[in-house]
Amino acid sequence: MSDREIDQQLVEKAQRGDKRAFELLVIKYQRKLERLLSRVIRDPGEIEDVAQEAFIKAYRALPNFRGDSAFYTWLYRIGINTAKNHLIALGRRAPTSTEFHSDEAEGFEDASGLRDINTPESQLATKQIAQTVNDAIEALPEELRTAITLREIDGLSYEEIAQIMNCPIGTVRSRIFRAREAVAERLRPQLGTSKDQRW
Amino acid sequence: MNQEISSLMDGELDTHASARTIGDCCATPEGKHAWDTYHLIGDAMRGKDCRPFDVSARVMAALAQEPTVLAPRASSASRSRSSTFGRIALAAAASVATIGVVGWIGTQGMTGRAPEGMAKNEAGVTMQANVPTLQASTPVSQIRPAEPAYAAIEVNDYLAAHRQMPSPDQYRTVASRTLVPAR
Repeated sequence: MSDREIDQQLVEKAQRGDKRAFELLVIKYQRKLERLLSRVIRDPGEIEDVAQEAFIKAYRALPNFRGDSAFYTWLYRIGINTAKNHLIALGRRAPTSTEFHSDEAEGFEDASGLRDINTPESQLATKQIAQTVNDAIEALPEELRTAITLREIDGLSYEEIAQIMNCPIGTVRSRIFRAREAVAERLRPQLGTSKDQRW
Repeated sequence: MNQEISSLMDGELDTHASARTIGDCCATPEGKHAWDTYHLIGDAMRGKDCRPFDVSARVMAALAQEPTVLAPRASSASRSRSSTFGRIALAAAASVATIGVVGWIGTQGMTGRAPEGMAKNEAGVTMQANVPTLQASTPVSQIRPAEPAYAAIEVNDYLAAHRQMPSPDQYRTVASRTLVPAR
């Protein structure tokens, strides 16, 4: 199943009344939406408020979502409109419609958008997470590091990775999972969770 | 379960296993945590900013006050049914339009052009009707131009020979004979 199909499954589950499925969509896209909103709004506190409002609007509008576009494309439009309305309500200049196109939603990548808005504390936290992930990846056994790199950086399928690494698909599945778990274990102290006490 | 979640976010589960894993993931805090952390790791590896940004708790707290949305689900079966009906309707409309256009062209040919041509020259219409046949089956070099003058003469002779009533010339001939005294 493609990423879009997984999102569609979550949407349909939420449309049948399961709010927990919508929560998975929020968890998946909250950082991406934050990066988008940071292009329009400078204040980190406002970004959180607008992101929350955008997700609630999306939930209310969920019965109208029929899957004609990808979920994130739809959320992208809601997020931009919510941000514009927020700025207009505050009497500030909202970006023009030509500055943001929903066409770019699918491939929206923004690594630098948060630099201006990050507080020193959040900048430190961001750097620490990136450093921890990099250190954890470097510390992995080579076969685990290769498998997760081919997946996350190069975007290869399990079948393609299995061909490159000359091993069964089940082994690739296991290696990628073990790599993620090893990195997650190193991240737990920073994310404020322990193995037994999560969320 | 976490291995299933790892495979799910890589799109490496079939539909049935995906649905089951999504259900498991929704049901436990561990599942949600793994879902979140794995996505965070992917973002960090791809060089994206990974500020510990988490509005999900606030969003879900706010949604707890919201009425649950219940949308009529457009199943894939009904979607395919509607698309099938759409295709049939489109094909029927195209057929009716084609029949209408062909009928209109035929009607125009019978009521408009043909009588006009016949009024001018009956022989001309006959020749026009024959031209496409010649063009379709005969090489261009062998097609001879139509000869309306000869054809018209032939038709006039034919019509004159088959008139039921004698021509005025014949009357005059007879009359002139009767006027000449026999000697």
